[in-house]
Amino acid sequence: MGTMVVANNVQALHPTSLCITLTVPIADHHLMNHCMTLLKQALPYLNQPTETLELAITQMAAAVTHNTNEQRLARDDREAKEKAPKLPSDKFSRTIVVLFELLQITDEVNLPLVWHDWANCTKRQELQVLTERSHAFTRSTEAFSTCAPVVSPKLIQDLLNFTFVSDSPDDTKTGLQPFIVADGSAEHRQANLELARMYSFLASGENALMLAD
Amino acid sequence: MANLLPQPGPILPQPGPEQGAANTMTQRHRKFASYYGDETLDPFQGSYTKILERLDPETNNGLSHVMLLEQAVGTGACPQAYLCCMSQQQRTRVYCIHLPSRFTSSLDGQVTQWDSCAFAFLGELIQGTVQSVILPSDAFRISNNVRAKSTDYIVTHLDEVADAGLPPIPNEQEDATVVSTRRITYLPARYVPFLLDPAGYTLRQV
Repeated sequence: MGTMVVANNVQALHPTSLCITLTVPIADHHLMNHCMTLLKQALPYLNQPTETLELAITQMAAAVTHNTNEQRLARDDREAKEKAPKLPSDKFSRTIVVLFELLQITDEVNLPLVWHDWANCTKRQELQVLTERSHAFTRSTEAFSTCAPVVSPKLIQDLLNFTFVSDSPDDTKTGLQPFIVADGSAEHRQANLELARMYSFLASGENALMLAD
Repeated sequence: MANLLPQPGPILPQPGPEQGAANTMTQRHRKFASYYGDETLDPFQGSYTKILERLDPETNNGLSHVMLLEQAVGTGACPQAYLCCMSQQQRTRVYCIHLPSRFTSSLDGQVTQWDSCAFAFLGELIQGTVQSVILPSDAFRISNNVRAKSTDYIVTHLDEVADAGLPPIPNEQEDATVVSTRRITYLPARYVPFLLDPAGYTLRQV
C-alpha cells in the first residue's frame, strides 16, 4: 500500500479538508438489527461452531475410534495367541537355550514331545503329562523297559531344572528313573545303572512280582 | 486523496458455476479477513482497472458522488471496501470502511432516527461484533485543484511526510501537481485483509 498518494488542498491550507469524519452512532435495536442482517448476509457462518471446534471434535472422535479399534485388535490378537498352541520357548524362555545345548539341537521343533506338552499345560498338569508320556513310551517299540517309571513332583522339578543327578544314590524322592543317564560322578552313574538294572530285574521276566506275591 | 492504488495482479481465472458454488459451500467465513480474502467472492476477480478508472475523477469527472453513494450502498452483502483519512488531535490515520449500506425503513411506517442514513463497517470483527460508522452523504465528493506530491516523492520522503501528517503544500513548490480526488478511495478486496484494524493505521504504516 506504499504507493497510495495523499494529497493536500491548497485552498484550505489544512490537511483535514480531504479527511472524512467517521461518526460512531449510538446503536439502538433498529440499527443493531440492520447491522446484524447485513453481517449475517456477508458471514452466514458467524454464529456457528468454529472450524477449530468442529475439527477438535472430529479429531477426538477419530482418536476414540482409533483407540477402540486398537484395543479390539489387541484383544483379538491376545485371545488368538492364548488359543494357539504354545511353543516350549514361550514357557521356558529362560532355560530353552540350555536345553538346546544339552540336547544338541537348534530348533525347538525337535524337542521331545513332553516339552511341547508341558508348554501347553498348567503347572498342576505337568506330573500327569509326564506320567502319560512315560506310559506311552513304555508301550512303544523304542521302550527299553515294559514298566513305566514312577513320576514324582521332585522328578518334574529336576527335569525342568536340568538336574539329572539325584541327591543320593538311594534317594527315591525323585522317583524311579531308569531311563535317565546321570552325568554326575562315576559313583552316581554306577548307582543309577544299578538301580535301573534292579528295577528291570524286578519288573520283567521270571523275577517279576506277580499279583499272587 | 488520489485514486492511485497498487497495481492489481494478474487476472484471476473466472470460476465456473459449479466450482464457484462448491467454493461458496465449503468456505465458512467467520471473519472479514477471510471473507475479503476469498477470491471467489471478489466481484472484479482481481481485475480492478475498470473500477479504479471509473472512480478516478481525473479520468471520469462527470460521475456524480450521489450516484456513486447510491450504487455503493445498494450493492448489498458484496465485498466492497474503501480507504479514508480521518484527523483527530492533529493526527491523521487511515481507516478501512467496508460493506456500505442504507438503513432500510420499516414497512409499517415506524420512523427511526436512522432512516435514509448510510452506514459502513469499520475494520474487523472483534468478539463477534463489528463497529458501525455513519457514512457521510458526501463521502464520494470530488475535491478539485488539490496540490499533491508525486508517489515517488512520498515514498522517498516517507519519514518527513508521515511525521508531518498531511502538511499543506505551498503554491511555490514546483514538484507538486494539481489533481482531482475523492474523499474516499476504493480498496480492492484482495488488499482489505491487510487493513482491517479498527484502530486505523498511520501514514507510515500504510
